Amino acid sequence: MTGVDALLLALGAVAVGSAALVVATRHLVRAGLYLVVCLGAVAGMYLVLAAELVAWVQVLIYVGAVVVLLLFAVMLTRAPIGASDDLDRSGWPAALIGGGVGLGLAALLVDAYRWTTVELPEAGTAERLGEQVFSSWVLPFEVLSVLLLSALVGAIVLSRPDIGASRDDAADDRGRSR
Amino acid sequence: MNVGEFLLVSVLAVPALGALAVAATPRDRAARIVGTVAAALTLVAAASLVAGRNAAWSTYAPQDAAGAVRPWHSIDLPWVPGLELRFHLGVDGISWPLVVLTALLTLLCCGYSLWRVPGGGDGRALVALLLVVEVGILGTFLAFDLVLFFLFFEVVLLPMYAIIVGWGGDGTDPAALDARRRAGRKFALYTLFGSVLLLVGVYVVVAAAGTADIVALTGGTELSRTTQLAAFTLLALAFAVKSPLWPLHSWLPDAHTQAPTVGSVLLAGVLLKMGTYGLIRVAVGVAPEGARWAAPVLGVLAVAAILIGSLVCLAQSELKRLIAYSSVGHMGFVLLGVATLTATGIQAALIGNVAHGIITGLLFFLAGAIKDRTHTGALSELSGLRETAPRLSGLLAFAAVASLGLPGLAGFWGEAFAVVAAVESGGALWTTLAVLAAIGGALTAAYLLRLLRRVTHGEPSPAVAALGPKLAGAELVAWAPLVLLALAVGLAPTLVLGVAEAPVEALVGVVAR
Amino acid sequence: MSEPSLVQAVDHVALLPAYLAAGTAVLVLLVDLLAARPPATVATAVTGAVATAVGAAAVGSGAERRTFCVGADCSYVFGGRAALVAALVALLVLGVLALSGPLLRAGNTPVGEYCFLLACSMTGGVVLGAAGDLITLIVAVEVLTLPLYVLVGLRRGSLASAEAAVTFFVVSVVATTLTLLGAALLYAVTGGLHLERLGTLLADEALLDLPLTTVAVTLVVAGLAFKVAAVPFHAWAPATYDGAPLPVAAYLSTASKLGGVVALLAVVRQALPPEVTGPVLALVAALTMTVGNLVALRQRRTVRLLAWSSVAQAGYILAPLGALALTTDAEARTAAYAAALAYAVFFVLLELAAFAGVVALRPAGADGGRLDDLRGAARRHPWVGAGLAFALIGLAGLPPGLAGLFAKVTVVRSLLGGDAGWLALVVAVNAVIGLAYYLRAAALLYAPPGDLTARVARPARAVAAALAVATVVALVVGFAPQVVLDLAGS
Repeated sequence: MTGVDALLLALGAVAVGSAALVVATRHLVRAGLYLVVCLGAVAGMYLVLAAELVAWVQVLIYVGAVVVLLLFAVMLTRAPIGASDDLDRSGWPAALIGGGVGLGLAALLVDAYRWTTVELPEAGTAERLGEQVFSSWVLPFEVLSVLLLSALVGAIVLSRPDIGASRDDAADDRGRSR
Repeated sequence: MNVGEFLLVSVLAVPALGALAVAATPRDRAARIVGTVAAALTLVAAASLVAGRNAAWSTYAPQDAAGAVRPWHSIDLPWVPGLELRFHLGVDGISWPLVVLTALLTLLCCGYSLWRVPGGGDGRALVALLLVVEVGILGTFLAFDLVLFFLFFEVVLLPMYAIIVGWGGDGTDPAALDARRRAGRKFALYTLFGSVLLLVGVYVVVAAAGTADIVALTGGTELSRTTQLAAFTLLALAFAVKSPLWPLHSWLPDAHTQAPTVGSVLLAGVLLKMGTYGLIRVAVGVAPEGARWAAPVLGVLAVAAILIGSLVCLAQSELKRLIAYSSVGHMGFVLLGVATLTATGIQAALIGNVAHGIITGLLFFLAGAIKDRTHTGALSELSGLRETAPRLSGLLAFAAVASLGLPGLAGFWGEAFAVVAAVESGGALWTTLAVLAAIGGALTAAYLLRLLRRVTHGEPSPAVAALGPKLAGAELVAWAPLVLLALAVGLAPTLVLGVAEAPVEALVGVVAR
Repeated sequence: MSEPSLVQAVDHVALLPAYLAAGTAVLVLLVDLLAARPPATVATAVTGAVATAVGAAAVGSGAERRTFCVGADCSYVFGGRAALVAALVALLVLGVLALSGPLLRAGNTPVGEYCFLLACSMTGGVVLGAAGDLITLIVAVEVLTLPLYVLVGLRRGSLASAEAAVTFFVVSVVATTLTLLGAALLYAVTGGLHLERLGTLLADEALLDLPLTTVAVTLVVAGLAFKVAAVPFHAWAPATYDGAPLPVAAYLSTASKLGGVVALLAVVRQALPPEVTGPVLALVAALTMTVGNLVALRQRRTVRLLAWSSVAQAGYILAPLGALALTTDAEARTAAYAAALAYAVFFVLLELAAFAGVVALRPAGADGGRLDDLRGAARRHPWVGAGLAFALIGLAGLPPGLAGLFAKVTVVRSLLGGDAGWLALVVAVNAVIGLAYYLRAAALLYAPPGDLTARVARPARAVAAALAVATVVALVVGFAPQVVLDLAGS
């Protein structure tokens, strides 16, 4: 077992453990913070596997943006900072399903690969990734832009109930006069 | 397009266009007249199909397997090649009597609707629906393509449902409405159950043979034994629901009791024949090996239907319900004839079909007339009809006697020959079945005579006492052809058997091999 | 892009329909911003949808076009089938826009955003039909679905609507996760993501025996089965349909469902081994139609009835695919794919007509209401009632709804051609169960009205037009079903 293997195992353990804590904790804010740890550990694994760009993207977007946004949302909506007991249902079914799926997938993958050694490809730099995205996968990349745009507009529509209503009173009159 | 093709198409197109014209005519009475005219034209076209038939049969040779079905006229156009569906129509001696019977009964029903529209809806829609039903039935009889046959089989379903629910029953109170709807739904669901089995059966055949052409398929030469058994089981079940064969008959009494007079007439007169016709033409023709395999079962069920139908009739206390159950028994004779798979048996089935259509049509007309006048169908409230309405009572007696199979009237031939065919088939099973069927025939006589005794004799009940002896002109016009036909077919069965003899021989020729 | 080897020639003609759809979305947003007149916005969306449909038909009428290729594998394959899907989605958007007339006029709905989101969804549908690799496919499905989360939640102030949106969102995201996981595992097993390449790679027996492959395939199929609302992944559909505004429910049960079917067909046809998918899909199909029909029997709300019935219809759509494992005959397999697509085409047509009928018979902006609200509606509005009854009967698969009848015939035929007789019998029995509730709904339209004081409002002109067009098209393809069969088989 090399140092890289050990590091991967350790990071994996951290990721799984913190992920379990995200679901198990009764504190909303703590859940968010555990999520940071979990996503950070995953980023570390990417780094160990020499996928540097993906690792930094993971840190920037998930840890930096998504979780922070989540925490902001929690604070702005004045959610309780302390333990909130009503948040939890009984954990058994969830634990059973989660554990079962996780273990099952792990067993499957272990069975599929056993002790096969896979050579690490060359480092996943921005240049290599860019090549991939802009040569093989341009189409999904471009289509994703439509997805993001619609998500953006959709989020605005849902979060501001006043947009439709105020303008459509006028529209209504016009519609009738037509 | 030669004359024969033109006639075939017009037999379907005239009522279809007629239905559209009726729907488009704004005034109710004018629309009904348009419908009646369309039905009359259809009858003319259907009857003239017989012209030119000898040309096709002059080259007839029973040894020729490909010639098992020799239509007098046929038309074959591609429609949906992706589904093996061709617009293939044809007519021969097996289908022609039924085609004419259908056209005649529809005309009589439309004419009757000119005079009297059952309560519930407007007469225009009723006449349009009657014509659509006619298209479906005629199409079923004329289709020479399995998929097309299925298609027309399904066409009948919803219009008939609408007729039962929209114009049937008596009264508009919620309970009557509910009973009507339940009867309609039962009819629709049972019949659809039959048709979907038909669909599966049809495609079992089509997938194995690669064609849906009934002419090519008759004889079943290309199909393996397993396919034939599967196909025959599915098809026979499908037609057993429609015919209806015991124990799949339970939709029939409800539907008949609730349907309006014209609905009952069409239902009993020709709708049931789609099942028996399909059994002869499609199930037996396409899967003869399956038919031979299943014949004993079919025979036993047919005799069970005869006996059970008769016994139930003996205990019935409602007029229309009794006639409906009597249909179960009569169709049992028809099915027994088919089950023997002999020329005599199938001929008996064909003439039994026609006779039942004529006589039961008449019986339902009469029952409708009685019910319309007295507003009741209970036998206990109908005694003494002879005293106040002698003509009606006389006609009822005539129809009942015809129905019980008195020699010299139409009902005799089908029942007698079905029994004869069973005896001729030989063997312990068939002889037993023949004996039991004969007993069933005696029971038929018993319940019909009981019906006559209860209804015509005795002191007039309050409901009957108010009746006058008069019959409306429209009623006479509607009934007279049926009375005459019952006599004519009874005295000269060659009217039906003459045209059917050659094709039946050919069919039995390929089936028996 | 300094190295010329990385620059690929992009076939812009093949991409034209996608450009048109995406361009419609952007244009709608701009027109809404600059003109700020709802009619102009809607007109732009309508024009865009028409242009997309025409563009798809025009491009599809030529030879198959491939672009974004890496070696022999292409991410975008625009052939006859893709053109059919693209044109159909565009036309369905057009229909839904027509149905939205009363909703948009009633206020409370932001017109620009509504049209924009529909156009975005249309873009997803157009790309979906042509997707040649798993990534593009999943992204396209997401583009098709994501705008709908918002649209479903657009009935302001309605708790049901918000609940529907959240249910839909959560279920859909879980489904996408499943599909992605499956795709990732497939990549791990084979090293390929392009559908055709996966197909060749997975033909290898050694790979097929690996449990991981089976799980990966199952995950992909299960994720997509969520999108078509197949049992056991159907629970979201009725609540979501009922909570959504009526036109959006119409879109969900037509275009969105069509998208799921197309995605499923694409992976099953090109990528995944039929030996694995066949039995799974056969089971799913049988369960879907049976459960859907049985539950639909008990529904009392109009949209829930349509929702459960559309669950059942998804079962009929999937049924031909269930025969895949039983036959090794390539012709029978092709027929099965064609049958599934053909059924889907017949179905969306009739379903759109049914929704159009319901929208026309309900007050502007109202939800679907109870079935009893439609009692006697055909007596008040004979034409609209006849249209709705025709659509319902067609969905039940009976004449005069010949389109629906031929759809069922197509399915049964392909099943028997593929030696799956038992499934054909299941379909047959389900058709009978289906008739029970379709007939009840259709008969209710003609029942004597209980409430004589009900307001007789004229249906909006656009809605009536949509109903008329859908009915006429259904009538035409009812008499000439070969058109659809040819298109689906191309």
